[in-house]
Parts: sequence; C-alpha cells; structure tokens
Amino acid sequence: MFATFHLPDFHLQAQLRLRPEWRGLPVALLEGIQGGAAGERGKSRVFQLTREARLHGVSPGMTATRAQARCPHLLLIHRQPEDEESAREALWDCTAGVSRDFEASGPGLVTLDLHGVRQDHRQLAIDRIDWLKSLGLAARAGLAENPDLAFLAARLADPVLQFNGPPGQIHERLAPLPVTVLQPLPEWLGLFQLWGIHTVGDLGALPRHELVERLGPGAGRCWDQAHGCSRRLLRLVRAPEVYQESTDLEIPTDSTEPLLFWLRRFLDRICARLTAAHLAAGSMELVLTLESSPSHRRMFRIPEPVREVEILLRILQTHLERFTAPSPVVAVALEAFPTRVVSGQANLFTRSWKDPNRLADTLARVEALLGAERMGTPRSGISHRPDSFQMHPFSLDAPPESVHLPRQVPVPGDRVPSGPPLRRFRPRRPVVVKTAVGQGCRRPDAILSGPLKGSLSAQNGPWTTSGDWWREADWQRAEWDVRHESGACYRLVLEREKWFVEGLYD
Amino acid sequence: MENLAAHRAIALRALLRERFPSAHADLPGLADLPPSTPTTAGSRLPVQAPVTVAFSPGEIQEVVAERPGCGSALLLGELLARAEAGGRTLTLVDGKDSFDPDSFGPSLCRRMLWLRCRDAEQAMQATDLLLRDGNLPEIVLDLQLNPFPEIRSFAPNVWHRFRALSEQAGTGLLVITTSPLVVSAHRRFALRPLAGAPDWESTRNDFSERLSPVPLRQRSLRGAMQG
Repeated sequence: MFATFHLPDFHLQAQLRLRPEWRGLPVALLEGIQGGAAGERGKSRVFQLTREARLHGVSPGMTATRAQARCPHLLLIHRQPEDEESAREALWDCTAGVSRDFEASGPGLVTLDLHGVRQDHRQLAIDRIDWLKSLGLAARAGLAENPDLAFLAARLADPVLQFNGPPGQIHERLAPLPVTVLQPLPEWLGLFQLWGIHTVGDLGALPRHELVERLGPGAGRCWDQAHGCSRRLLRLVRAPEVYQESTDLEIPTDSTEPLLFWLRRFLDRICARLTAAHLAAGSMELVLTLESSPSHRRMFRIPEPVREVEILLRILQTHLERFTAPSPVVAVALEAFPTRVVSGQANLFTRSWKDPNRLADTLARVEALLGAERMGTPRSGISHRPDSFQMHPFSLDAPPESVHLPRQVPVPGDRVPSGPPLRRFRPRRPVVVKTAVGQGCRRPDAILSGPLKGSLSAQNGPWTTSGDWWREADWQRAEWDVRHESGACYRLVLEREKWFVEGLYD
Repeated sequence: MENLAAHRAIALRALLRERFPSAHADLPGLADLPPSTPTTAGSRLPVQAPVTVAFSPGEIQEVVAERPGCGSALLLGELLARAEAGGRTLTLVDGKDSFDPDSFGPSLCRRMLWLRCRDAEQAMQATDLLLRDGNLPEIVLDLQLNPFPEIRSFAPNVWHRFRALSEQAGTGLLVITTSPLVVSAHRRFALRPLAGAPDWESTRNDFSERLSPVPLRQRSLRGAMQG
C-alpha cells in the first residue's frame, strides 16, 4: 500500500500558514520570486490563489494587472523560498514519522511506501492530516496499491480517499478527471485536444498498443495510470540526518531523573535514525544549559560504536550520577556522532575486551568513586623528584591480553630497579629523629615519635637529591635507608630540617 | 592441654580427610611427607618448594604478609613482570595508595590499571565493580597497609560474593592481607620475612629469589563444591 499526501496550492499555503492575518482575504501568488523589476510586476501571472480570489473571478494564468482589475482588493504576493522550505520540512517530518521510505513527488506532494506499517492506513492518514492542520497546512491523502494511483487518489480526496477494487472499477472512478492529472508531456496536450481527448476516461478508451506506437513508451505509462495499473519504484528521499536532539525544560531541574527521561527519548530517536542509516554512535556530546552558570559540555567516546539505547543511556547515567551542577539545568541537548559499525574478524593473536563499553562504564563508575586523578596508568613525570609520576587515563585501546612471545621493547626512561621495592606512605609520616655522629656526618639513630618509635640500625645514606632550584618550590632532600628494631626497613627523609618516614621496604 | 588440643586437631583433620577425600586431593597426606619436610608453625601444612603465586582464572587467592618487609610489594612486582611478559593487563586496587611506580620502572607499569583508594571500603567497592564487570582478567586487592580492624569489619559474605563474581567472570583475584581474612579463598599463601639483612645493592631478581610463599590452603574447585 502507498499513500500520497498532497498540499494543494503548496506555495501559497506555505505563506498563508505563517501569516494568519491574510486568512479570508483574496490573495494571489504571482510567478517568480520577489525582487524582480517593478515594471514587470504587472506582467507577472497569477500562479496560485485563495478561494476568495476565485470568487472575485481571478483565475490562474491571469496577469497581475488583469487580476487586480477583476478584484481591486486582491493582495498580490510573490513566492518566499524560506517559507516554502519550512513547509516542506513540516511535510517531510510528518511523513518520515510514518515511514522512512518516501518520495518527494513534487512541491507539496509526498508519496510513502506503507509496506511494513501495521497501523490502520486510513486512520494513519487522518492522523497525519490533523497533524499538518495543526501546523497550518491543509492536506489531502490518497491510498492505493501503487504510487501513481495513490497520487490520483490524493487529487480526488477530501481529505482521504482509498482506492480499492479491480482496475476496471478504479478506471471508472478516474474517468471524469482531466487528462492533465496524468502529467502528459506538454507537446501531447495539443495533440490530445485535436483528438478530442479531455479526460482520463477518454485516454483510457484508446488502445494502449496503438497509443504507444504513435507517442512512445511515455504514453503507455499514462495509459497505465489511467487504468490504475502502473508499476514503478519510488525515488526515495533521504534527508540529511542530524543525530541531535534538544529541549528546553519547562521547569529548571537539579535532579537526574528528568534529565534521564529526556535523554532516553533523545536516544530512542537518535538510535532509530542510526539504525535506519546502518550507522552507530562513535561518540556523543551532552550539553546541559544551566540557569546561572556556563553550560556543561561533556564528550563521551564510545569504545565500541553501538546504537543500543540502553548502553548509551548507561554511559550518560554514570556521568550524571557523579555530576553536580552549580545551578539548575534549564535545557538539555544530545548529539551523537555517527560512525560505521566495525565488523570484522578479530586478530588471531590478540584478544579484545569482552565488552569494551561495559568496561568504559565500569571505569567511569570507579572514577566517580575515587576521583579522576586516582585512577589510571602511572607514567614517569618530567621531574626527578621522587613520587612525581603522572596518572594517565587507562587506555581501552590496548587489548587485555596478547597471545605471543614476550616482547623486549625498550621503554624510554626505563631503568632496572635495584633493592627491594618501596611501599609509600601517602602522606609521608613526620617523625622526630634522634641523630648521632657517625662516618663523618649525623646519621639517624632512633625514631622518637609516632607508631614507629624505636632504635635504628644499618643506616644506608645519605642520598641527597635536589631540583627545581629555578622555581620557588625548589626541593632538596637527604634519604636514609634504615633498619628498624622490629626488623622492617624504612626510608627516612630529611627535608627542610624535618624528618619524615616516606615508606616501607617490602 | 596444648598437646591434647593438637591431637584433637590432628584427629579432626584425619576425620575430615576420610570424610571428604576429594577436598584434600591436591595436597599430599601428612603421612606421605618425609620427616625433614618443614612445616609452618600456624598451618601444619607442608611447604612445597618451589611455590609461586600466580593468578588462576576464576579463583580468589589470599597472600598473607603478617609482618612488614615480608615481600608483598616484591610479589606485586613479580606479578607485574609476568603480566607484562604475557602482554596482559594487571589491575591493582591499592587499598592505602602505597604503590610506588618508581620502584618498578615504566616498563612494568605501562599496561597496569592502578586504583588509588583512600581506605579499605573504597578498595572493596572498586573491586566489587571490577569483578562485576568481568573484563579485567587479573586483579590484585592490596590491603597490606590498611589497619586490620578496618578490613576485618567486612562481613564474610562479601568475600563469598567476590568468589562468586570471580568464578562467574573467570577473573583471577589476589588479595594481599596482613592476617588470614578471605574466608572464601581458593588458595592461601603466607609470606615470611625475607631471609638475611637487606642488601641495597642486590638486584631485584636476587630479592625475588628470596621470596618464599608458603601454601596455607589449597582448595580445589571440585573439593570446595563437594565439601
């Protein structure tokens, strides 16, 4: 089943719907776009007109001067491309909500393929017509088994007409229509006049074979239309997809639930479009407009592009759970950046994560628990100051396991550590240390305070280091490796005349 | 009295061995041990040399380092080295933020995921999340520096839940504690203080060779299910 939605006098409707003050007035739309020479206005011809203008005797094709002579109060307007574009978008939005397979058959004319639409087609057409009416557009709808017949039904509809039945019966209903509705070639119109063919019924009465012999295959298509048996494929329209949704909240909110409600709706629509385009979300951007603060923007990278609503919503939910807005949220917007779905055979020698998206979500939850700076992979810092490493975000790109021989890839700045590893006390523990002179310098002899109080032996040091002397926060320190009377070994540090236990050798 | 208690314990173990032979299938019988085989004071189970602590998929292992300086950080370095050699990612849930990257070098740390927790509760929560995720194959929960009363306050069912999650996801979890704590551990090892005085010039390998984990519990999955 196919449906054609027809907006009669589309160009005129596009302007009238935005200017309600013109309703009830005699209005005529002139050919051409506004901005032509002033002297040519009088020669412009009437293109479309309102019912009130017709009642005054104005008809399409009249010059503007002649039309104004018939109706002195006639309002003459020119076409406005912006208004027509707006009306076209409204019509396309209306139809795209029913089926993504539709054809823009002409200005104000859309034909849909309803195969797969389970809803009652007639009721669906009525609903859409009501929807367009709420937008200020008067529409008609035709339903039939083929696109051309649906188009003809739409021309006859008031406001919905469905053609059912055998071709002969349909031909009888089409017979009174003027032959021009079949959109014959302009050169045929004069010929039809000569032959005395004025209606669809006249054309349909001619033998098809002889008609095609004289006028070519195009005439055969007209004959098929006249009998309601033409078959053709729709020239489908694919509107440029924008995977973005936004809304202004009626009541500013500072809780997560309303935002999640809207985000789910956004994702439902976005994912439907992604599915139809065989794409997946590679990343998303969430924008929360705050009442009295700068907008909050957050980009989410999807480790494994998906178009599942639940997965994408979980990522957003995890972020929102740990997000604290300084002021209520007044608007929310979400945009997905599409990418092609990766499908390919996995590498034989590497294993991928079981579920990268779930891992990313889990890491986001852990990050919310600990803080971003307390999770990741440590890398050496640019300073030689001890414990001056930098935390880098954990890379999900690295596979969890590689099934190959051990690699001997040198790492820049790597060195073979000697001695036992240290367990650091963070923060380091300040202590009072008793020192004694030995081997030419004062060495720690005992810890006099804190839980590690006790005598020290086997001191190894001092190891002095310093750095950042060109800054205010310069540092200089001396380290001792000491053995506590309990048997454990600690690292003692003297810095700015204060002693600290920095860690335990373990 | 002590002798009587010891005899009763031995008799009880013998009874359990007879009653549940499969639960003790992995361990040699006490009667099979040669007289010179050393035993640990607390466990009376034999020391099987060489013993290495390694991750086992779907199993929880507990490493008990009762005293500071037993080499738990050294063991961590061993695990990092093995993970790096195998191209695997090791996750360290650091219960007291005590890991020192400088002690291990960039090459061992480049694939690790380090969670710097402030206390044991954070560490347990983070571990729970990671185990539920099931993507990370090897997780070390390091509670070595956390006060024991803090970690003892967790109900035993937490560890049973960890075990169930670990088995479900096939994740190897290794918990480092100062006292036996993980009631659901498949295996438990004790770390003894490293023998000899520290030689600061020794290489890391020299230290690693002195690392001597002692098995305290070795429960097979099959045995655990039957027992």
